[in-house]
Amino acid sequence: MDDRAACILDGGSAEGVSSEVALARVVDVLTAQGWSPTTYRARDLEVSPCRGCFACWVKTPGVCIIDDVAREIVRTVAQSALLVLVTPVTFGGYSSELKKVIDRLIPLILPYFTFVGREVHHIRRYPRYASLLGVGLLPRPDPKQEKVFRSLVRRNSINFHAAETEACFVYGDGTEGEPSLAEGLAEVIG
Amino acid sequence: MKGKRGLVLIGSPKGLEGSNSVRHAQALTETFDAEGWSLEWLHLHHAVESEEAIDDLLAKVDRADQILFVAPLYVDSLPAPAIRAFERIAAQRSRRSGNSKAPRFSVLLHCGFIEPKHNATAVEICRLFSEAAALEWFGELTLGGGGIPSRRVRRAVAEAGTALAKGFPIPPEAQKWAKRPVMPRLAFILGGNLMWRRVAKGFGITKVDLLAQPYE
Repeated sequence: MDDRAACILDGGSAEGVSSEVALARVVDVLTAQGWSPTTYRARDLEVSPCRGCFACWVKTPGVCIIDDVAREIVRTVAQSALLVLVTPVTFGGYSSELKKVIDRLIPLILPYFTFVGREVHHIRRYPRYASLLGVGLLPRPDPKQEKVFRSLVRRNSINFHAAETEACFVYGDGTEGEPSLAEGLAEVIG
Repeated sequence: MKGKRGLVLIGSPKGLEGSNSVRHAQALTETFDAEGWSLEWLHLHHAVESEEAIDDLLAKVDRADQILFVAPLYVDSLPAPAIRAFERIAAQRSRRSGNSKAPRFSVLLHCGFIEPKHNATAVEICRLFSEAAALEWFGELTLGGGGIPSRRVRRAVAEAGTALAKGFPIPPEAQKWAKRPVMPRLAFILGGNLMWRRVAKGFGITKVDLLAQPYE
C-alpha cells in the first residue's frame, strides 16, 4: 500500500447536482498535502454488475471472475491509503453508477466470518485498508437522507476494515454541511 | 382483494430461478393466488438492461396494486441494478401529478450474516425510495443467516405473506420472528467458515490459496 495514494470513485450522474465542484475540492486538498489521487468516473466505465457468484472468494481468490475495469479499480483501492466516494445521495445511499463499482469490491475481503465488535463480519484479506470518506451531493440539506448516508458509510467502513471514516455533504449551491470537506478529509487522513 | 395485481421485483443477480430471493418470494406469495391476486415477476437486472425493458418495468409498476421487492444485501445496501430501477421508477413517478394511485410497497431483504440487523440501512434506503416514488410503505422483513430456512424464518415469511395477501402491512409479529437468530453466532461462524473452505476445495483451492493477496 502507498501511504499517499488515494482512490476517488465519482458516482456523479449527468443530471442533478454535479460532482465536479466536490471532486475539484477533494483533489485540491489532497494534492496540496502531497497525496496522489486516482479518479474513476463510474458513469464513463463499462462495469458489469456483480453476479453474486462468489468466485472471487472460492475460485479465483481475491480477483473477480469478470474481466473488466473493476479489476483495476480493486487493485487501486487495495493499494491506496484513502478511498473517497463522491456520489449524489440517492434515497440516502449511493447512486447506481457508484454502486455498480462498490458491489465489485468484495474481492478485497475474505469469505470467512469473525466477530468485529459484537457483530459477525468478514475477515480482512489484506493487512491494511484504505480509510473511507463519503461525500454526498444533495440539492439542499436533507437530514433524513444525510442520516442514512452517514449510516451507510459507517457500515461500509466496518465491512471494508477502514482505519478511519467520515461522511460529509456538498449542496447544490456549493455550500457544505458539517463537517466540511476539508474537515472530513483531515479526519480520515490525519 | 379479488382481481388485484401484484408485482414481484427480484433484486438478486441470479435471476428468477434458484436464488434465495426467489425462494423467499415464492414463500411470501404462497397464499396470494387464493386471495385473488395475479402476480407478475420481474428480474431487476434484466429490467434495467435497455430503455425498452425499463419502459416495461415502469408500466408494470403503474399497473400494480402491490409491489413486493425481494433482494439480497449487497455491501450494506441494494444490488446496483435494483438501485438503478429505483432511480428510474422514482424519477417517473415524481413527474406525475399527486392524483395517481400509490401501489403498496413492501420489502424482504436477506443477508449472509447471522444478524438480520445488517439489513437496517438498506431498509431505510428502500423506505426513502418508497417516499420518493410516492408508493405506500407496507413494511419490511429482514432475514439473516444466508438463507438458512429455519422454522422461525419460514414462520416469519408465511405470516408476512398472509397479511400482505389479505391487504394488511407486514405485521410486527412476523418481524419479531424474523429477527430471532437462526442459530448461535459462534456456530454460524464455525459452520460458515467450514462451508466456504469446502466450496473452495471443490474448485481445487487450498486453504492457503484462499487467503491470496493478489494486489498486495
